[in-house]
Amino acid sequence: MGAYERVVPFPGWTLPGVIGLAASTVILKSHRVIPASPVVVAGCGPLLFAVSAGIIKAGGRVAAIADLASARDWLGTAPALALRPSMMTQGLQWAAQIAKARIPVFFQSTVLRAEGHEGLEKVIIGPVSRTGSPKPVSEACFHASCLIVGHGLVPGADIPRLLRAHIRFDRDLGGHVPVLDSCGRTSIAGLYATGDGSGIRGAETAVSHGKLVGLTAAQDAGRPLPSSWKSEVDQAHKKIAHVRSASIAMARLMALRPAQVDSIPSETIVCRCEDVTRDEIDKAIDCGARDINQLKHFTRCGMGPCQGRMCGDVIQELCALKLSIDRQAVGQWTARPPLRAVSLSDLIGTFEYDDIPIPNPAPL
Amino acid sequence: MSHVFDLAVVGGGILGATTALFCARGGMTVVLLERGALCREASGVNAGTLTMQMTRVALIPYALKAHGMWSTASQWLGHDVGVRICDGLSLAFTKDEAEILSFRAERRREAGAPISIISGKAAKEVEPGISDGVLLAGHCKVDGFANAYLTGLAYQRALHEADVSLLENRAVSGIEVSDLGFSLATSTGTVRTRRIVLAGGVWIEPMLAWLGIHLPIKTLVNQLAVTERVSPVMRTVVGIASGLLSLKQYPHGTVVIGGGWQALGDRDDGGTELLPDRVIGNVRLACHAIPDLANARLARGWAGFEAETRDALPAVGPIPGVPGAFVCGSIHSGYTSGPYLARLLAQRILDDEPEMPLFPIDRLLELETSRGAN
Repeated sequence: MGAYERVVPFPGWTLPGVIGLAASTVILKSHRVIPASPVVVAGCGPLLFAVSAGIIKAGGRVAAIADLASARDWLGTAPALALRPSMMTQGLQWAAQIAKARIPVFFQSTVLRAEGHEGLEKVIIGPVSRTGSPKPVSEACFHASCLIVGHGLVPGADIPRLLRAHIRFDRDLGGHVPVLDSCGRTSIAGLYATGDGSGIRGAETAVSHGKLVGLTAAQDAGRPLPSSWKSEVDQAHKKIAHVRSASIAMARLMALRPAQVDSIPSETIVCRCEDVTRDEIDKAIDCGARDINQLKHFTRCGMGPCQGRMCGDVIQELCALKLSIDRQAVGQWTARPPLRAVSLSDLIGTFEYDDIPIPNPAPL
Repeated sequence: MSHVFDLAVVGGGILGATTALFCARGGMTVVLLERGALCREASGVNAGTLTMQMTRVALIPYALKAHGMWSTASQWLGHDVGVRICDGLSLAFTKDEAEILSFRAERRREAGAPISIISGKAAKEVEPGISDGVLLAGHCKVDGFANAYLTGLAYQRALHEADVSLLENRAVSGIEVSDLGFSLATSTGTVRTRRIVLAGGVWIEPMLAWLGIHLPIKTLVNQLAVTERVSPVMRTVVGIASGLLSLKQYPHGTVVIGGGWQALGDRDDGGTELLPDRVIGNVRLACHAIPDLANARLARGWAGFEAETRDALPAVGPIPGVPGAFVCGSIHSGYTSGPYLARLLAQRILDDEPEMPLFPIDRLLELETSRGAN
């Protein structure tokens, strides 16, 4: 089911030239396109360094890296990563490439604002507190043609939500995830969930968990299984347990920081499809909106082409902060079809008017 | 002794909210109890059409009055619900449809709806977006639409200003009747009141059961769809004479496709499910009427519950045998006519003579009794 990229809004984040961190890996890897240099890379999590190293390798120029986490936060992950030598090695390679290119890395820092007229021109970076809120002590300005920014991933649990499986909120897993048993069964018989859509746990967990869920589904369906299936299930469980501490450590670095959300300036757009600002969200709550669906009706937030996939997590957090209630109580936007926008011409195909099964009109 | 309200309204849709509003303005102390958020069921998720051409003949006089209320909402309600008054067209593509159209339009015209029958060519002048295949159209200048999702915000503010005690997320689980009035059991304590209005949409059936009254209510599960924002493709409200379609483009560019095609749904658990064939059918009909619509993308489909009595006429009036208890619901095209019928009920509750007759449920209960006897 995959994941959505989370960007915690800041002034200027809707300027042309500002793109997502995870999105940039797609254009780098799949399309082999380098974002226009100079580039500032900002946000949190290991992708910051993977993307920066990727741009350098591809011949681009990175002006600065701003990481919400501190160097100490990264050191704190070392014991967990020590169990995953391949991840550790990979990380050290990126660090070496970045150091060799003499790219300034600002730990415990964030993008305060992006500026420009027709498109991005400047990125202003400043330090944050341990909880993620900006500290008004200093600023550093970088001229940039592209700002790559991402604050972690949100599970794409659209299908279990649409089918009304039980859902719970887990900040460390990235947000709302289906309630699963140890083998990936949801609350709905015959519906299983795995991968980032069931919680952000990284590629290695996804492979093992996917195998586990596949074997479980086959077993539940009464299908013939390979003789080795029991040991494969055990192995998958073991593998997941083995990488667990490392994947949790990485997920925590990418989890949403409430203080960062709380520091979004009031005039900043939070729902970019419908141009809804933080101030409008706050005012709607002052007017009596008490859950996320009512907030949507009051402001149109989440009603645009993305149907809240981009802004939902942040707006729900704003709502929780303002009302001092937990995320579970704020709720989620009701999931509705289609899962992605679909063109009406594709939907209708070719047809004859006479063949439309038009229901009879209401009584006269 | 806890506070005793003059009136408790159970159900926070436009019917309940309008009744509460006018009773409070009439001097009563009013509490409105809603198990979820205000106007989040049918009143907030319907297509927002304000039309005479889909309204039942018997309700046309009420719908005309209600249309007048919607067009002046910012005055009497005090807040905007995004109402746009525009022309409405009911289209006929075939000879059979033209016959149905002429018959139905004539009946509605007799009831007071200013509908005229125009040629396909004349219809194209009213609405350049329609296809060339239109033979005949019903044209009504009293038409338009509201932004249904803004209903809750508008009423929330109005109720607050009228000093109505608004208790959202407060489900009522039962009613105890005594000589002194009513005690409503809620999740967080008892609410006491001298009068009650049950205005729970499709849920008035279980609500009436609290008082020992059996009134079957059919649940219609109306399917809706909305496109992404597109450049203007139409400027009127468009329907079809012989079937179910409502189509309009909002000022921000989205087009809402509805009309009452049926989805699946469960009144008890609140869940709904769209049927792909019906979504496709509804969208095909919409694109047949407005061809440029095919370039848009579908952003979202959903469904809402509409209540219907056995005779498909409203249940609005006193509850027989329970002095001080009233019901308000099951109004066909309820979004169009709702505010006016609720205002009439408020007049009755305030002991004024309603300016038009209510729709008491005695007729429906007699129907049940005779059915039971058979």
